[in-house]
Amino acid sequence: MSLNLAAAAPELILALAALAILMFGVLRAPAPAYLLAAGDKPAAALSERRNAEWALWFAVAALVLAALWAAFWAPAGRAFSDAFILDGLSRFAKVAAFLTAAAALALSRDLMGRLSALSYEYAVLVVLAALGMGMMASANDLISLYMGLELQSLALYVLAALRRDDARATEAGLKYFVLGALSSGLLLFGASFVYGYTGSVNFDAIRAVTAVEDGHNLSVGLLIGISLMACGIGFKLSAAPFHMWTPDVYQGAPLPITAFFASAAKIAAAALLIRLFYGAFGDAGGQWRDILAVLAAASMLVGGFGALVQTNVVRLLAYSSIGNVGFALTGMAAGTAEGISSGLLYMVIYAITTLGVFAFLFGMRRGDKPTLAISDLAGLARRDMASALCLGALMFSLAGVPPLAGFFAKLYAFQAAWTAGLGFLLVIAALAAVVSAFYYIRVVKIMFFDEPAEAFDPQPFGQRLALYAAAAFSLIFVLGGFGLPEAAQRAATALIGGGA
Amino acid sequence: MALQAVAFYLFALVAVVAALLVVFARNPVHSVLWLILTFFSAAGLFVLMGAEFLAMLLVIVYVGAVMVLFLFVVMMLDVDFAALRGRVAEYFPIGALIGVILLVQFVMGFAAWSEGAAHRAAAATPTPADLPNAHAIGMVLYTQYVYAFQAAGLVLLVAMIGAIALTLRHREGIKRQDPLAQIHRTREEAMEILDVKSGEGLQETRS
Repeated sequence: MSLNLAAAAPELILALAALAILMFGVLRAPAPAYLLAAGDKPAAALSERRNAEWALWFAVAALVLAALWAAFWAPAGRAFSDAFILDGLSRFAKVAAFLTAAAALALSRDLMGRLSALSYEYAVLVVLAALGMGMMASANDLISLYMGLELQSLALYVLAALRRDDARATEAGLKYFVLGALSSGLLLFGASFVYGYTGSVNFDAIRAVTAVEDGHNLSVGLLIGISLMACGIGFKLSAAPFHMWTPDVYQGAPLPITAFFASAAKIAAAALLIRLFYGAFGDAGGQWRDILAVLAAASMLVGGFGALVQTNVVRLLAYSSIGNVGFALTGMAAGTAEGISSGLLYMVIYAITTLGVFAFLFGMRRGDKPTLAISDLAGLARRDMASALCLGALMFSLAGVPPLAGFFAKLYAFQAAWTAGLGFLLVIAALAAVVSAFYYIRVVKIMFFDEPAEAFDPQPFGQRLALYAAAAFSLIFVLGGFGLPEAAQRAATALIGGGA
Repeated sequence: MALQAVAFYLFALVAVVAALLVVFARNPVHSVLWLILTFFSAAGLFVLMGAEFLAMLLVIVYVGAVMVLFLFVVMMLDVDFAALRGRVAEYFPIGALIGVILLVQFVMGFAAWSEGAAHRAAAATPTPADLPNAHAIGMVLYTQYVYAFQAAGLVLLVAMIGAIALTLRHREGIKRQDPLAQIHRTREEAMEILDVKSGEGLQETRS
């Protein structure tokens, strides 16, 4: 019955920051337009824009502070009568999710302003979504799992539709909302089965019950619960066959928000999956490993073949994210400590790489209009060699070409699957990797060997910097990997090795 | 005991039939009314399980507030539900197939109920025998479950921000009340004293 607020300090920081930005936005808001004389309107619009920028930078600072706090200062332990747990896994996932969220937010300032979608609500919603991600990574019972997931999802639905005058964005928000509600229903239905057949919502108690049942002769009701929960989480991860929403939502939502979906949200969903399956159902591995393996195989194939026919870069990245989730699930289906660490590592490397690619996509505009066809990249090398080289490196990394970061991500995942005896899955993975390498490398070919298309508008410095940094990350990863593999291993042993 | 069983089957049957009618009713207003009946039956089931507080909440919050709002929205929306319904037939076979498969699975699941019973964990919050429901919930809601409670508050905050951010717009060119301007009106600009001659009216004096 202890509160132990110190363990939940990163979440408290984010919650307070969200409230502070709300107050700031209300108190500093200029008078509404209908009260102003026509001459005062430009000044009011300017001050509104400046407020939104302040809110954005404050949100970035809060996210970075929360990540630092989660990494260094928050003591490991349980809080709120065991509903919340801070251990190596949640620490790793929180730092990764908060930092990628901060990066996505900071990068988005210029483009959101151009799309006239920069409002202080945007910063508040991103902070609240990140708070939900932290809660997902720290969930230790079914109720807190669901609350965290809902907090994150609801904020993401609103973010997707934030440009409400844009038909595509509205479509994206609505589609995401309806399908998300369906998947939440599945997850909740599964959770009710799990509760009914184990008698508890707490993960430790659920684990104790499944341990008694030896993991082999689980009652059918519990199996139904596990499968339904896997379906619900599969949707949040956009794993096939629950991927239908991904291309439309990625294309329709404002680009910076898509970047947020593809990076931080994916890490949190993967952490939630690990927390639930390796934690609560850890002793019933034989039951859910097959489910994850099927999801992995389907996602890799859908991602690989679906991307072949795409002409829009964002849709290409959407299918690429489906495929990459499949590769990460290949590792996670192993059911071992390597499975956890490879899955976490995969998601983090994927998030950083994809953020770099998105930073470039933000600047694919001509005459302040987005030009996002793959053919618009034609001859980029002759117009802007540095960007073309960096984007090429990121594409090769996504394709898994050694010695780039993406290669190591796939290597660890395949190793985990191999030692767990998932040979058949590896055959599919190899096939899908070859297919997906084709379309990544096609992008590189278009950039370097096609007749140059018109030049893009000049890119803001921050976006160039992010592209260069992500490319440098994928190139230098081979020299020790920035300690990420070791950190992921520590996170994994926290869950499987017993320590906190 | 027999009376309880009869009541349970009655409520359960009404709930299932009403839920089906929500989906199949032609008129959306009727759908909402059937949904209200479903909620009432569910409330009855809650009472049978000894959760009278939840039953009252269901009636007051869902039937009293949410459903009434829902009814208003459905009546105000100009959606051609018949056209929406026309496409149901396309998806009906596959939907029915999946439904039957799910039903079989759940029957199997519930048939295995007693099998796993021996291992089930002790309830985290057993209902105290000598306390009424509302009191028992009050004992744990703000202590043991304060985290979930606060998280629910944040979810509602997001819903509120979302509703405002997505729908509030200050439109130009509509008449609004401006209290400041009202207060600052002076006698000179608000009224005019005229001499009205008898039998002529105001038509000519006013331009």
